[in-house]
Amino acid sequence: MIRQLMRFSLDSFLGRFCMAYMVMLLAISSLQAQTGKYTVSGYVKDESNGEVLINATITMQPAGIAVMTNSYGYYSVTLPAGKYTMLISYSGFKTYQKEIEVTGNSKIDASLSVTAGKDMAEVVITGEKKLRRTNTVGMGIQQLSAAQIKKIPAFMGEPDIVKALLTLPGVTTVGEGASGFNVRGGNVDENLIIMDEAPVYNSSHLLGFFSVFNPDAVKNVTMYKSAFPAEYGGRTSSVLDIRMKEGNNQKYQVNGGIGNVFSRLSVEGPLQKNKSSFIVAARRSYIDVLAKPFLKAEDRNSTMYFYDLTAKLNYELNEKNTIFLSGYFGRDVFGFGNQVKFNWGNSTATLRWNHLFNRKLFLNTSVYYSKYNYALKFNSDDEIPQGYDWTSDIQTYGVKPSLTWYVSNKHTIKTGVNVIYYNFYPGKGVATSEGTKAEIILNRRYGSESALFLEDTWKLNSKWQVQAGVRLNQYAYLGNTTVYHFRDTTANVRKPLDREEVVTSKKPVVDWLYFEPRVSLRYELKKNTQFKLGYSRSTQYIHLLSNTASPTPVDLYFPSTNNIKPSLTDQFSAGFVTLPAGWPVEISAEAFYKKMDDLLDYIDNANLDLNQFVEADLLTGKGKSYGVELEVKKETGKWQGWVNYTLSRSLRQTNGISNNEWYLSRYDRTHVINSCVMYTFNDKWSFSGNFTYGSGTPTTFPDTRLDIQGMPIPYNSTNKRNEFRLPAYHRLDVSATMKTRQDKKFKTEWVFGIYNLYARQNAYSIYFRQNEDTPEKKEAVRLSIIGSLIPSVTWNFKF
Amino acid sequence: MRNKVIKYISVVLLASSVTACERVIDLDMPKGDALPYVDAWITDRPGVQTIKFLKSAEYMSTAAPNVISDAQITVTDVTAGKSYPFTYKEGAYSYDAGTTSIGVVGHTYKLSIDWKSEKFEATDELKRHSILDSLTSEYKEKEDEDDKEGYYVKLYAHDPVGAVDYCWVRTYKNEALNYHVGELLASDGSFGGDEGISDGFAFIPPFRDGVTSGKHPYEKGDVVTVLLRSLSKPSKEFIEQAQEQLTNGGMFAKVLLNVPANVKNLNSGSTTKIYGWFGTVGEVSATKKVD
Repeated sequence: MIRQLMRFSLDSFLGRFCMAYMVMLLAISSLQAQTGKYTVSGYVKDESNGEVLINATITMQPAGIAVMTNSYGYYSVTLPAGKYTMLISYSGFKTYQKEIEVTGNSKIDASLSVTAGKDMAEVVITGEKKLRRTNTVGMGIQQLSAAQIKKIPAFMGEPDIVKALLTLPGVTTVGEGASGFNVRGGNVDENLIIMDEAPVYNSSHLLGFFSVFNPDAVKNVTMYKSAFPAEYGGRTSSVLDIRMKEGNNQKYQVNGGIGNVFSRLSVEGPLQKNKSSFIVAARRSYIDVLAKPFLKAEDRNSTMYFYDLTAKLNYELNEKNTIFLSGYFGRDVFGFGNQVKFNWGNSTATLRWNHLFNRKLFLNTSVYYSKYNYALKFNSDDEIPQGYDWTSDIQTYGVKPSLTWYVSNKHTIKTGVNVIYYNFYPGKGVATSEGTKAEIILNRRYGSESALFLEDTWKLNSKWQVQAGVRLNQYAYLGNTTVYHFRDTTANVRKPLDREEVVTSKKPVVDWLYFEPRVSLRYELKKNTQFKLGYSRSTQYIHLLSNTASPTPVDLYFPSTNNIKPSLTDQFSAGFVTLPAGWPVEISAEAFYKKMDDLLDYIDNANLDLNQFVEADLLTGKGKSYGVELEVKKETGKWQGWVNYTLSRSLRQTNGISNNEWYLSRYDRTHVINSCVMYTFNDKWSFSGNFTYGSGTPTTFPDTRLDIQGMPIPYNSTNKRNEFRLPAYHRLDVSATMKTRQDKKFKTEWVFGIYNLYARQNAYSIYFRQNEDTPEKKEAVRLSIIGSLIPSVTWNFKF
Repeated sequence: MRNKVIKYISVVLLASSVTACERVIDLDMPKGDALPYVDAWITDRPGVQTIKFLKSAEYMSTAAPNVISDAQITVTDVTAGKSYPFTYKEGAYSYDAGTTSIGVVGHTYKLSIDWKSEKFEATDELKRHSILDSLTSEYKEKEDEDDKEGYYVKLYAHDPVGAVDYCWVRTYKNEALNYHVGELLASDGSFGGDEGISDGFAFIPPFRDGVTSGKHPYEKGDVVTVLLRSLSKPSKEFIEQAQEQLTNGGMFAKVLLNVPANVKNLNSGSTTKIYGWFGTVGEVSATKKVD
């Protein structure tokens, strides 16, 4: 497969260009030398377990030069010869301090220890810098550590990455149990979710109640809502970069938890102390077992569970080379006796190689594979034997070498290429009845993405910083499939097929080349008070075909083809952030405007099921969203937390829909307030609360009805979409953590939680039906997914 | 098909989440325009055929829709070149075909409406029947809340071999539409679209069992009639959308979409529209007295 990928990348013009570019760049940069200055470089790690610390700040005093570690914990700083005090700070850790004398290039690896007497990052008292708004150039960047995620009161007591993201400004969902999330008015499929570089196509377990990431195996979560770094591409709304833990390289450690819904267990430890380590983490739900007594007799032979397995291995070959191998496998299984069997899930694998050419040149090469698939099986076990079998998948192969060049303390250049090959399998159905068998196989579709990126983070002077990047993206819809050509017709009417063309070669059928600038500008008004501006363009070539209220596990990803143009988004943003002197808070405001072109929409009654001609049912339209996000955040002390308010709008316009006028998108929540408070009472007890409020999502109500053949069909005489709103959504959750045993060897804690404390029945949807007993009567029905408060107890352990 | 499955899963999931709830609420409903629409279905049965021309009522109102009586309505058998003028009488337009029928399998029909000095037309094709083998009934003990004790009727039917056949299954109890079982729609005896994967199949279990409601099974003495109506592809899509709008609940509901109309104003510049549907259907039925 890698060979295939290479062939594809070499086939395309950009692919060849990318390879030549990398070679040239390596040649130039290795010749680079500065006179009279020396480079100090190394890794920053957590002393207790050897995990590298991402975005730790290294400051050289008295020169006042500050740099940060990269995603692999590496830093490089260039200085004139002399004596310096080196300070390294990281949230939750004691500041590392060392007097050094720079007389030549040197390597300093620092191990930071946690703040005295406290569990890692559990209580942050003196900790200072994480990736916060004041030390990034770009805007819309938010980071959560695993420890933070665990502190937010969670649904069923289970810490969850996606649920934690929903407490951040600009991130919303259409309702409880809905899969995925919406960022700044964008669709669910517009989020690039990568786990150790490999894309994850479905981020939800149990439809949408839990996310697929095991928090015990996650080290760091970074979300980019605007001004994406140039190294990311292929999605238009956000990037969610999830980095897995490397595993403790000092000692063996077991972590686990037993809760209402599922249990977790992870094992990590050194393979070779200080050099290599591993982590294996698993979860399995047992909600089906617990729910059994509540189910109807006929539903009792149903199975419904999920599990996932995350594993990672790293090995330091020598000072200059480290390799990482990580993988994920998760599955949701649903069954009903022998009659229905259904499963779906993601699998990913990533191989990474960190290579230091010299102290200033860091290369990471990632090779990854990702697959999302589902299989559906029915059997009737009554007098007429019948069966139905259905499978579908999407597979991705990618390679991404990326080079960081610490040119000087003023310039850091990041550049690389990213080549991705997509293999879409829209589906195969096999039906049998009384011994006869019939099958339908939809044509596979293929696509390739080749991108080249270059970005310079440039400190102009003490006031101005620029992060300027470009991404050159080429997408090709490839052959070896049947290409359909449709005739254009009235908008919102199925397009008639003009002709079919069988393309046997894998050469591009159609391709696009995009130039995507990504620019961020930061101006420091005074210490810790900054203004920021940003602009980014991004494009997207794969689309989730879904026309239901919330995506389902059986929705298909489909490539841009000769009939579906890639979508393109331009985002402008401006912001302000300050850390007021004497106040341990961060206050920020960000405004954004997003212009979206060629967004996917569907004709009325689109047929998205095993439809060879599905492209005939797709429409493209425009979108825009804009808003302001305000946040106050306190991340130190006994009281911690944040309050944020978002005022935003998200609109769509598609010819043929809603009288061709602009209408509110399904995810428009005009006002959103999130507040999260965490209080550490003493060494034993800590408490947290989370309140969220959001305007109801837009919906369409009928205003008249057509009685046809005795069916009272609801009808909207205005033909306008989403003119009404569901009632506002609000909810309060609380949780308390009690640490029971805190020995050096064995640590345990109980987490008690109540989700939806005041038992609000938030509307997921309102629909209309005939009254069952008096069919002449019609009624409006409110569906609430969570209809009462949900208590939970979880026991966590670590040894 | 996918959506059926996923709807089913969401139902079980919601049931097991214990706390999910559906509640009938008071809603301040918008008041829309009264739209003129037709409810025009021609069958291949002999006797009187009826077409309704109405003004749509407010969604929540229990009143019957108002009747439009000042139109001239004609149905033409385009294949045979015959015209059938319908006359207005007691709230509907009708034509008595006597011992013959207007509808013939394989023929194309045109509905013509003259109303307010404007002309409207719609066409449809009458498709071949599905094969109705038999209805059976069986007494079942109470299994749980949702499957009560009573008589369960089963439908045995087959899809004719060749072509994609669409079939609209309607169930009547003592001559009135049984509201406790929904409208069912089969493509080649199965769920799904035009893929023709189940050509010639026996109607699958959801249809076999779909003519009885577990909450309201039949009682001794009930007369159950199952009517199979053949549909053209456009008419199937109309019924499919109608059915979707009638059962649009759950986690994976679709947004409210207006059902299409096939009645066209011959003057394309005019803004007067007639909504609703003209369909021609072939009918077969079976009746079973539960005893």
